[in-house]
Amino acid sequence: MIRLGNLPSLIFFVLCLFSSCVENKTGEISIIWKDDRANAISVPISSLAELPIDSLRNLFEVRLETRNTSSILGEQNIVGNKLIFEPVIPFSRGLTYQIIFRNMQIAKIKIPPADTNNLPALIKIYPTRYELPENLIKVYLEFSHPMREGESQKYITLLSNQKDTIADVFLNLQPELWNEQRTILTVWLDPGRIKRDLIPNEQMGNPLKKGELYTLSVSSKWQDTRGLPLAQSYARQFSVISRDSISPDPKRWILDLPGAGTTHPLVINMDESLDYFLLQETIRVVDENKKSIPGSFSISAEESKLIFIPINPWSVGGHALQVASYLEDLAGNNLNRVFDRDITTTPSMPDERNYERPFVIKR
Amino acid sequence: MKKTYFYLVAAVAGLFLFAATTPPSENNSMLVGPEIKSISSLSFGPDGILFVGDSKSATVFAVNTKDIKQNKKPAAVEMKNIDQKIAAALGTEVTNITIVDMAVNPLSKKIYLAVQNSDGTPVLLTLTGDKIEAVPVKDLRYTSVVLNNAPAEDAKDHRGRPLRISSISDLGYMDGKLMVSGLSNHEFSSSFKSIPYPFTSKQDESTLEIYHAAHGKYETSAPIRTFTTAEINGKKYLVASYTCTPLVLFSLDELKPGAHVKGRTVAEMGSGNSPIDMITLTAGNESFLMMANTKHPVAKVNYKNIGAFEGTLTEPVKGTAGVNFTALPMTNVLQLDKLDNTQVLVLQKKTNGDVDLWTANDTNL
Repeated sequence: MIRLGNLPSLIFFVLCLFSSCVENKTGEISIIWKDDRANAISVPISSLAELPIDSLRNLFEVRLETRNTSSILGEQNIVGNKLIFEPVIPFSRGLTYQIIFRNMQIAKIKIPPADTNNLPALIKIYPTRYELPENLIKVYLEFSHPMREGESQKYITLLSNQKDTIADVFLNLQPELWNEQRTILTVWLDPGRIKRDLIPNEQMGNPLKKGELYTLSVSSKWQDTRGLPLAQSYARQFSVISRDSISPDPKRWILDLPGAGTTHPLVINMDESLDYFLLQETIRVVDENKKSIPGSFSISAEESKLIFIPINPWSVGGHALQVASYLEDLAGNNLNRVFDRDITTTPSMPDERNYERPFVIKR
Repeated sequence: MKKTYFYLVAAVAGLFLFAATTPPSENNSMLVGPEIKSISSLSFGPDGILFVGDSKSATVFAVNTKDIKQNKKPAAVEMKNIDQKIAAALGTEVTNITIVDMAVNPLSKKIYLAVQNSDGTPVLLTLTGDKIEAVPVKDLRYTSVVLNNAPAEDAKDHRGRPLRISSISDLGYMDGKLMVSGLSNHEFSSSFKSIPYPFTSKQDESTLEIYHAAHGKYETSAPIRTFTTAEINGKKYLVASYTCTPLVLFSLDELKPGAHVKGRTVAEMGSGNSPIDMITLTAGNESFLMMANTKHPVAKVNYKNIGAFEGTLTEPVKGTAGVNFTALPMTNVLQLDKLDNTQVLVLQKKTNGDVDLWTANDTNL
């Protein structure tokens, strides 16, 4: 039989210093970590009372120290001689929680702040070109860690000639468009302002103007999912050139062909920079039987060059690049249609799924 | 021990009962405990089924809430500082949470809230009076449908991760069909799917390309931001609003698999603004569209006026154009949903930064 101990002696403070551990233990109450998150706490039943399990559950609760009125939503389970409390969301870094039993605080537990030696970074901004078209439609930001969602508008700004912040330039999308890992964010420039003749375009004009310099800046206040801010603020300058109103066309691409029997690269020189992420998924190399040739692609020259290295040596004969029609340039023009089509001059558009660019490998 | 045994017997009996009433098929077997990775959108279907749009796993879950007790006279709901109360219930600070969506169960009138923690953890909560509770998702039965399953969308990067992500912007159910609007993270295109519910092993899925014509000159594809369904002059319509403000009608009859449907632009609701949420209210013989916006106040449009507006916007316009609408004295509305035909739940950010939930009725609608 377990007796209810002397409660005041049970009031202790648990501090976990090493966030990478699975279960940290100081004293008797411990934090259970999963994927660097404080997922649950484990409380020895011996520190509670000699009561049936269901009664224990009813008398046990966890509260946020600063809001001592409400009990945190979560699930309690008895595992062996421990009561495991798993809150609906992980315990927040840097906050202190009260462990309550019979309306009395029996312990306090502080969740340590995340390790500041490992701050997140903005790795890359796409497109990487310095000169961008007036009707640029999107920008990708790639981070080293998953970032907090829904807040990009607060931290991304576009400055004209390094001084004036341009208002309402980015589309305020909720939910924001993140990749599955929450490390790559797609930011759209407000298409209402880019599409000719729509009210926003008429009233506010195109967000970017030819001949001007711009700076895209990302504030260091942006936090990742661990609550850590970016290691530094970022600024990326670019200049704006003419509007791009022409669809990409694989027929215009220049191919540097390898010789048969080698695994030399096939170099595809596009005549413009294309969308970095769409390039990775829209192009494949096929043999004369339309069978996909295994190999790897890499993107270079500011997203205007694609290099394909096959696994097996090239065979003599007809080959082709197969390009999915949804590949876009920097202005959102794809292989089937330009971004805003003037229906008075181009009344119809193709509806192809794939385009082929044939080539022949010789000895 | 006896108790455990009793539960085991009850569970087995329940399983048999379930198996007898819902014969499992390939994709229609109701499993328990959906693994929801994110919640972007909520919408109720028939019989207490809650559709949960999970953008992260590109899946819509149809979760059986078992919340089917009819409540014909729902009381007005009011909760000041709801965001702070939710944060306290979750044991965190208000800056760490986002209320993503709100849906009222049309049967029980219970309020369901999707909340996202700053670390990405999605939470499904209910609100009954002053009580905030977590929905025991892991104990609930569900079916699901995976979006983005067309061959061209199976692209993977060199680490085998899917490249094309479609974010679910809105969900709606009408007459046996679940409608899903989506945004691609790589293309500025519209993805709209109409999926029969209950989900079947054969997905009779229509993926539509939707275009709207601006002033009869330029035609562009654009993703739907939010939508609702309504009957106008005896015909059923999808009423959609876009990321760049036009209000567009599509005949539901035309939304067939593989169809390429052109919408009719009936209004431009003003510049520098994005629609957030739309609902349809019916009062007597009249029905109204209510739309919350990022910049403008909540707009109210009588469907009679939409029905009477036969044309499509073809002339360049300044400000707003098309069907007349009334601006209601409600700004910074984050979410709207119908409690009944006379009461609308409003989640609103006040000028002092507080987020309040309150009920609008005849006096302010």
